[in-house]
Formats: sequence, structure tokens, C-alpha cells
Amino acid sequence: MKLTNEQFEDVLSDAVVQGPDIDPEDLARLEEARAIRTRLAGAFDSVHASQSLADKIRVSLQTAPAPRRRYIYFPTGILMAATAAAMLILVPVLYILMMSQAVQAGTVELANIHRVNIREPAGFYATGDCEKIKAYFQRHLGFTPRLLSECPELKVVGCYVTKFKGGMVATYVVKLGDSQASVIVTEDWPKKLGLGCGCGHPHCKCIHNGSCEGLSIVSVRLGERSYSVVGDLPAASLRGILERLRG
Amino acid sequence: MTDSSDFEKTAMPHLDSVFRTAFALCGDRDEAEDLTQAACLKALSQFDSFRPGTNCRAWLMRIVRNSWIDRLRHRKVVGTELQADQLPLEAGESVEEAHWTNARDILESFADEQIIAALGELPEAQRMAVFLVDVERMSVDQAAGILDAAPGTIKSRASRGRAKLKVLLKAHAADLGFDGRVKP
Repeated sequence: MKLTNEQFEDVLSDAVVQGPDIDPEDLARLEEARAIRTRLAGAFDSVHASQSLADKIRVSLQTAPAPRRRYIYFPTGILMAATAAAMLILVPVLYILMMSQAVQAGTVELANIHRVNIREPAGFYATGDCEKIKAYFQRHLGFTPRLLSECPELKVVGCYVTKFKGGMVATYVVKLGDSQASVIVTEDWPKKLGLGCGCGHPHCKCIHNGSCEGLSIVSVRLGERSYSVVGDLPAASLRGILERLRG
Repeated sequence: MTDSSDFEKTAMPHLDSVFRTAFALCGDRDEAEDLTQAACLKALSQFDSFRPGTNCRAWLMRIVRNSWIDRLRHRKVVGTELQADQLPLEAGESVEEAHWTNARDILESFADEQIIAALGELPEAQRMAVFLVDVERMSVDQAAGILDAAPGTIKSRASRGRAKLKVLLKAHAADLGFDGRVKP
């Protein structure tokens, strides 16, 4: 096999293994080239850096300026601007996210209180006597919430003190026809409970609406507290209950 | 440990190779010493660009070669040497058809200085390819990195350089009264 010049160099530098079927002429060339390589390397064996050169270089190195260092100059201004921009975006987003979660938690808790109420849990004070209910709340919470001005279709059936957002709130159950609804008295404003009225004012006295898991919720601010009515009834019916709270 | 002592520890073991490269480039011991020293200082100043674990010898050789090019530019003597591998061999230069059957014996007849002098007569591109591949025993790829050329170009330059070296040595051999050429 006749080697190309490139193959010849590869074989010579031992980059590839010399095959057995190599052309005799190439073999001779290889032998000759190897001899030249060996002789050249041998000739340069006598070429060394002298000790005086080595010493001179060592002295130069000691007195030379410190090697250049490649510092990465962090663009502090850009970093600060980027951080500020990120904060401007992130903070409101996180606030909105947290608030929406808190608000959602408000309606969920109201719905849960209602579900527990209609099962008349242990400690539920079943009575239709408004005076007893007032005394109950006064005893447990130190205040008396507004009660409904009853009508033949609307009766209070019992009351309860339950946990809401880590505190205790007053709640009582009313019967409207065959259905039941819970009135829950909180210190949080309706908007903070996750309910809306469309006016945009955070502390308005409008009737607020909402829903959670199939239950309607209406709420209104009366005095220092919010009164929310929750039930499996149309919002209009719940609003009628609220009207009776307003007197 | 200071950067200078780091450099000394890393680079100084290759001082002989650096000096030989400088000598192969300029062909003069005094200038080679000067070039070696300048290249070492340049290498120190660029030590941050050296990646530990890579081939320090090749990195230094590249700096020597670049320092030499800078010197030539400064002297305004840079010509077309780097394209020398593309030049055709002169008439009678082709020795591929004729071989020395006793090549080793003939080559041993030359003194080291004569071999080195013959290498010094090659165009720089061929000379450095032969030097790096045959003397320093660097791989073609390493030589290509040092000389800023493609591996195929290095092979071609080394092959042509060796052929031309043989022509030169043949002429010297004839002058000395011996010729190993026995097979046309």
C-alpha cells in the first residue's frame, strides 16, 4: 500500500500504527525520516538554557510587576438597577399574590364556618331567644352583635363562637323557609374577606358579594364590624337577611 | 504563594524547551537567550490566561513564537516566510525518489552544529514544523496550535522541511566528500 504524504506523517509520528502491507519505498522513506528525526533531536540535546540565563530570568521574574489579573468588574450600577427593577415587579406581584391568597382564604373560612354551623357542632347554642343569644356572645366575646329583626319567615335557630383567621368570631344561624344561612360577624372589612362591591373603595358601606364552593356570600359593614351572610341561597335572598340586620 | 513563584514553579521546568524554540527561531544563542527572557516575562504578565492542567510547554512556545514575530515586525523584516510551505521545491530538491540506505550512518557523520545549521536554512514555517514535530516531539495538533496553522498544513510543512533538509545535508555531505545516495 502506497502512503499519501498525510498518511506518511501520521505513521512517522506514531499517530497511526504502521500497517504490514506498506509499500517498500515508503518503508525506506520512513526509515530515513525516522533517522532524520532522531538525528535532529540528538543535535538539539546539546542545546540548553544556561544556568546564567535561568538565574537571570529568575531575578527578572522577582522584580517584574505582578502578573496581570483578569478582574471581572461587576457592573454594580447595573446590578443595583436590575435589583431595583426586579423588586419593583416582584414586590407588587408577591403582595397581590399573598393578598389574593388571604382574600381567598377569607371566603373559604366563611363557607367552612357555615358548613359547620348547619351541622350544629358540639358547643352550638341552639336557641331562638335573642336575649339568650346576646348574653351568650357577651359572655364569650364581650360584645353583642346586631341580631335580625325577625319576621315569620326568618328565625334565629342558634349561635356559636368559632375561630376565624386565628381569632374568635360570633356566628349565628338563621332559618329562611326551608333553608339555613349563617351570619358571621368579623372585624375584617368585607373587601378583606374577599368580597366585592364594585365601588373600589376599600372601606365602603356597600353590600358586598361573593361566592365560595357553591355558597353565596353577602357582606356589609355595620359600625365596627362586618356582617357576612353565607348560605346555599340566591344572593338576593341573603341580601334580604342583611337588610333586616340594618334595621 | 505569590504569582511569580507560581509562575516559576509552573514554567521554569520548560526553560530548555523555551530556549530551544527561541534558538530554532532566531538561530543565534545570544538572541535566543534574550528572546527567552523576554518571552518569560511576557508569559508572566499573561499568566492569568494560562489554564492550570493544560500544556504549559506548548503555551510558552506559543508565546516565544509570538514574541519572535513581534521582534521581526519591529525590525520590519517580516516577509512571506509564513507562506514558505506553499513554495515549490527548487529543481533538484525532490529527494523522495532517492534514499539513503545508510541514512543513520550518514547523519551521524554530521556534527550537531551542522545539523542545526542545516535546519536553520529552512524557511521558518518549515523549520518550526520540523522542529516542533521532530525535535520537541509535539503532536501535529499541538504544533498546529503553536504555529497558528491547520494540522494538515503542519504535516505538509514538516514533510517538505524534512525533504529540503535532506537536500541541504546532501550538499554538505558532498562538500565533505561523502554521499550516501546509492539508490536513484
